[in-house]
Amino acid sequence: MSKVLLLGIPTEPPMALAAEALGGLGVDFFFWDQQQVSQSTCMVRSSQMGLAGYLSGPEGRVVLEEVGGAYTRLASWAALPELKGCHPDDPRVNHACKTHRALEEWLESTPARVVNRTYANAANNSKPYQALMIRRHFHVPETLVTNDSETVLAFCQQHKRTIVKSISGERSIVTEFTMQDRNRLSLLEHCPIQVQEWIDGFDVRVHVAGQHVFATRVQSSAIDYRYDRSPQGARFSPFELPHDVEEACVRLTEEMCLGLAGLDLKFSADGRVYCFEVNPSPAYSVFESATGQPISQALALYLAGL
Amino acid sequence: MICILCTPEDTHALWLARQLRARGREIELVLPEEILVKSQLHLSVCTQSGSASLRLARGLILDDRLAGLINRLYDLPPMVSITGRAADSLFVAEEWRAAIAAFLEMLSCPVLNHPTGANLYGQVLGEGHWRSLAARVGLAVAPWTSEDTDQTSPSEAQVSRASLFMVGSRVLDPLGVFAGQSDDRLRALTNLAGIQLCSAVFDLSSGQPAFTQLNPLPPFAAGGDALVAALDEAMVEAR
Repeated sequence: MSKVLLLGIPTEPPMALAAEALGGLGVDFFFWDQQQVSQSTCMVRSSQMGLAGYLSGPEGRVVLEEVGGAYTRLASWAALPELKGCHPDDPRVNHACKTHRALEEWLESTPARVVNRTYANAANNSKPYQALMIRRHFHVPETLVTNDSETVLAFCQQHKRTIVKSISGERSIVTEFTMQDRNRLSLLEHCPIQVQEWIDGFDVRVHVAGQHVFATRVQSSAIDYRYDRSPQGARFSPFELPHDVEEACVRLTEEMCLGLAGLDLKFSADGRVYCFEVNPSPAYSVFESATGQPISQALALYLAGL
Repeated sequence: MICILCTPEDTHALWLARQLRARGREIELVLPEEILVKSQLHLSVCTQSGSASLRLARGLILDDRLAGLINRLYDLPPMVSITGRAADSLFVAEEWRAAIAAFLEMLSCPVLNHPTGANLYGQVLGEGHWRSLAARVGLAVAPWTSEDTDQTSPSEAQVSRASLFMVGSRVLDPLGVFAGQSDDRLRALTNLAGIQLCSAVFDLSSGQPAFTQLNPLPPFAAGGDALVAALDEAMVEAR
């Protein structure tokens, strides 16, 4: 069995659960704590023979060609407490930059199972771009992206309810389009907006880890259940997916070259299944803790190639 | 009409525009600023259909009626949010970038190159990653290490290099140094990366061409008339 490499911050729940699951399976793994970047070194070389290199830190050293699986949830290194506010010429900044660049080259190039590579995550940076991939397998809501206020108003008049969400991966809170938003439409001149028809139905979050699929029904009165501030909050329960939907989730995840993905589905009142987004870096731990679904174990099995 | 998206400093794009005009093609150069300032962007996406159009302040409309689009949109100009806050400006920039990536992806005319969700002008990979992919498809590659920096890498002048150009599935060898030996492997590499227009740079210092990197913003003039003709044909064939 090959070694598994975990890259991130050990206390972060998805990483902590993955480490626990790997330990439970008896998988040999190395956890590189990103907060120790100043005491770490990474060197990668690429040649006709393939990739080779090492990553070392206070906890030890791993030979990269021995790694068969890697799970990365690296934060922006510039935001690490040790480096925040440092001058760009500070040697610690230069070292952190070099170490992360080497790691990134390895993660992108290695034949190991990587959850997930940066190039595979890229589609999530543009939601309408990602929707073009999603719609090969699922329904997508009628969506408008524009900086033209008249078109937005016309779109809202066509639909009973309309929601607004960011176009990129930034500030991705979903809200309902309201009168207040109407009054702010002049701002569109500076920045486009994405509006979508509201779909009636219930939310299901699906996590795909390799070939394993876990579906969780979400009950919430909030427009965006992630930000449900009601006293009871969002409630999660295991959900059995129809076989064809399960297959579509796996196929889409594979097509997007993702080893782990969180798919936001909505089962509409008219029987259609919509997919709003595929999250390539899902905080699956929230769902595992609430339902007991063994997502981290499936992730560990995938990383270990079992 | 063929549209070339480029910055005013992009001499390669300006050269290409002149060459294509000389062949009788209608060419419009569109600058990044024009995409943002007083433009009207409309993207409509649903399960079965969709449409994309961008109307510039000067009245030019970019949509499916284009004969083709040469995409050299390296980035969008810096944007300042009306709040003046850096975080808001970053958000506005990301929103525009995400919208334009989807716009370019949705055009049904030939787009060379298509964007990714993160990069407007196509697949951008690190040097080590390019070489790993190249080795995987059987190209001879020059060794690379993460210790290489701008200071330690041999300069352009010190290394003997040659490039192959790709337009669609056509491989062009303007210097005639490859004798067709790398063509199929280069096709495999560009297929893998989803790039239709690029130059592939090879190091010749060891006698045998060794791949170093792939550039999705090729220096057109180095490809000469053959490159212009191939691009022209790619636009016509696709109609």
